[in-house]
Amino acid sequence: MKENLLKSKTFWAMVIISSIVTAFVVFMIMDISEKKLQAKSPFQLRVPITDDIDDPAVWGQNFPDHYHMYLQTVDQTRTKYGGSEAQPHIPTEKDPRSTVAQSRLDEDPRLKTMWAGYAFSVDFREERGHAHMLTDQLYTERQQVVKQPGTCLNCHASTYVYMKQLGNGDIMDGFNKMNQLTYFEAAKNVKHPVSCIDCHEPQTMKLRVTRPAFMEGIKVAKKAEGISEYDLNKDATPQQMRVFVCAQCHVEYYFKGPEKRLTFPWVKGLKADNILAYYEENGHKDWQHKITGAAVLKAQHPEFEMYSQGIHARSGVSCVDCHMPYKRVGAMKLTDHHVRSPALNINHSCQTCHQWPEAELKARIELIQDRTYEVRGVALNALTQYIEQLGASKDKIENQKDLEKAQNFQRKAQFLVDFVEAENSMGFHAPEEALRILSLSLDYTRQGQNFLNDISKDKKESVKK
Amino acid sequence: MPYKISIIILSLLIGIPIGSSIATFVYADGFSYLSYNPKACMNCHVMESHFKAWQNSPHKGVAGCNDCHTHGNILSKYSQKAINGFMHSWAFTTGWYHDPIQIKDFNRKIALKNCLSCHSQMIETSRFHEAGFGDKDCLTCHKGVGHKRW
Repeated sequence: MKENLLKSKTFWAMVIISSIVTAFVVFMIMDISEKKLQAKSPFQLRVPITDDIDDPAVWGQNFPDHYHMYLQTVDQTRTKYGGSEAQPHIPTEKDPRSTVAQSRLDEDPRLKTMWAGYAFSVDFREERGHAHMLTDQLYTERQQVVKQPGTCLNCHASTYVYMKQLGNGDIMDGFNKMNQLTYFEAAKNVKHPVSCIDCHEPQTMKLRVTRPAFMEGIKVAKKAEGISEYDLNKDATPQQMRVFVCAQCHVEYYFKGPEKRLTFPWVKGLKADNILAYYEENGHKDWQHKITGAAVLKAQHPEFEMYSQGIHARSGVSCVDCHMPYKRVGAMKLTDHHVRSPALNINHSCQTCHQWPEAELKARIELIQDRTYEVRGVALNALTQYIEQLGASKDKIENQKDLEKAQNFQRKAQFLVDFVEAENSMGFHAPEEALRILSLSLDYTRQGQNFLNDISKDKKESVKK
Repeated sequence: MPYKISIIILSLLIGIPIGSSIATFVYADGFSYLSYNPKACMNCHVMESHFKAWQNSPHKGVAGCNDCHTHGNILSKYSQKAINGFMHSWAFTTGWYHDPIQIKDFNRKIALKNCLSCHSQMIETSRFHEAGFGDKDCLTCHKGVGHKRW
């Protein structure tokens, strides 16, 4: 042993084993210490954040994990009834996008009939992730057909800082000013899609609502429920805020008056028929239907309204619980800022409460959606048939009042079927409510068809006499 | 090589791994895992929400983690701890585990046996004691009694 230690095989075997064990132990202690640190202070402030920084990359220096997840909303994965297929697109000068979502109009030409004469009948594609909201709005062909107002930017960009600048610190004033600009004028001043500052208070990261239209909307909606003087920032619980931040945009809206003020039509309540009754009262129309001349409405992604009627809302489950579920990163429990369909993340989104295999849960989701899709198809068939019928006979209806009545049936039926069509869950957010709305739509179509038959019968009889 | 130096090298070769292992064990609160205290399970941060849920559960005052999740005499209790301890630290270090975590068959059976350790008298007098309930067991209906799983 004295002379040949370096030549001894046992010695070298010991060196190797000892190195491996030590390396493993050192690795363990580093991992444990990292996780202990994570548990103690989940984030570290590296740069100060003020209420004027809308660039998510700056916030991302303090919250790298959240920022990394947020960036992943560029993904283009689809589910059975939603999401994007990332179709390749040859960039042109007018539209430099290299991928676009598939066209819903090509999938279902009935939509073109329903929206005849409106910009949506020219270009309407499946929705993509948050990261695409600004560019998809900039380059849609709808922009070339109509001159859109700055109002659109409320939900297609991070506008909080811009609105504050426009209003010299007063967000309401900035909101009013932005609505009255043209879309392209306003769009020059924003750079980011929805960003950290739109939902978070920069000092405490507390959730907050930054969109004036929702502040006003939720007040009137609560009034309809019998709660007067609802103050969002005082009365909402943290769990409700996990709904309200999303409801700033994922709602039905219209542009009120010549100042194009973004308004949520919730005076009579949040249900589709409440909203329709409100529009009936104020006589708002989005456009004149090309085939029938009816003054019609376009429903816009009423996710919040539909969800509010569903069982998950009733059980106190928020948008964030399913669309941004908790996720473990090391020792930290983070809200997944990769906002997406729960159907793409069933284990985090559903299995926290529903302990069934993923395949079973997916089948349940799709069963609900298949049924809604089937009835939506029935209602759309009836509606497009009625539109064609009315279009063919409208010149023969002499009495103006009769014509208006027939057109009104279309207006109502169309808004209701569009409400389910535009809502991004194919019925899942509130299955029974979706079917109730579709059956109301079918009933208006039926009444309209009966009415058309009656007046043409009356006409024939009077000719006979 | 002189005898003294080779002895020093050899003792370092043996001593460094042992010493660093002891340091790691102590730093990671290793001794707490030998105890009965439910807080030990929280060392692994994954269990925090389960611990909080247990604190709000009907079993809080009467049964801790070890009362339901280990079974038998002291030897089998510690061997179950050792098996779970190894598997859990493996999963947590690599990050390869289903999130939200799910109980596996081995541990589910242990938990079920422990339902009977306390409630057997009641079960014996009920109709559920008899065979014929198929694949249903206590946890089919009472899955939230220890801690809700979030």
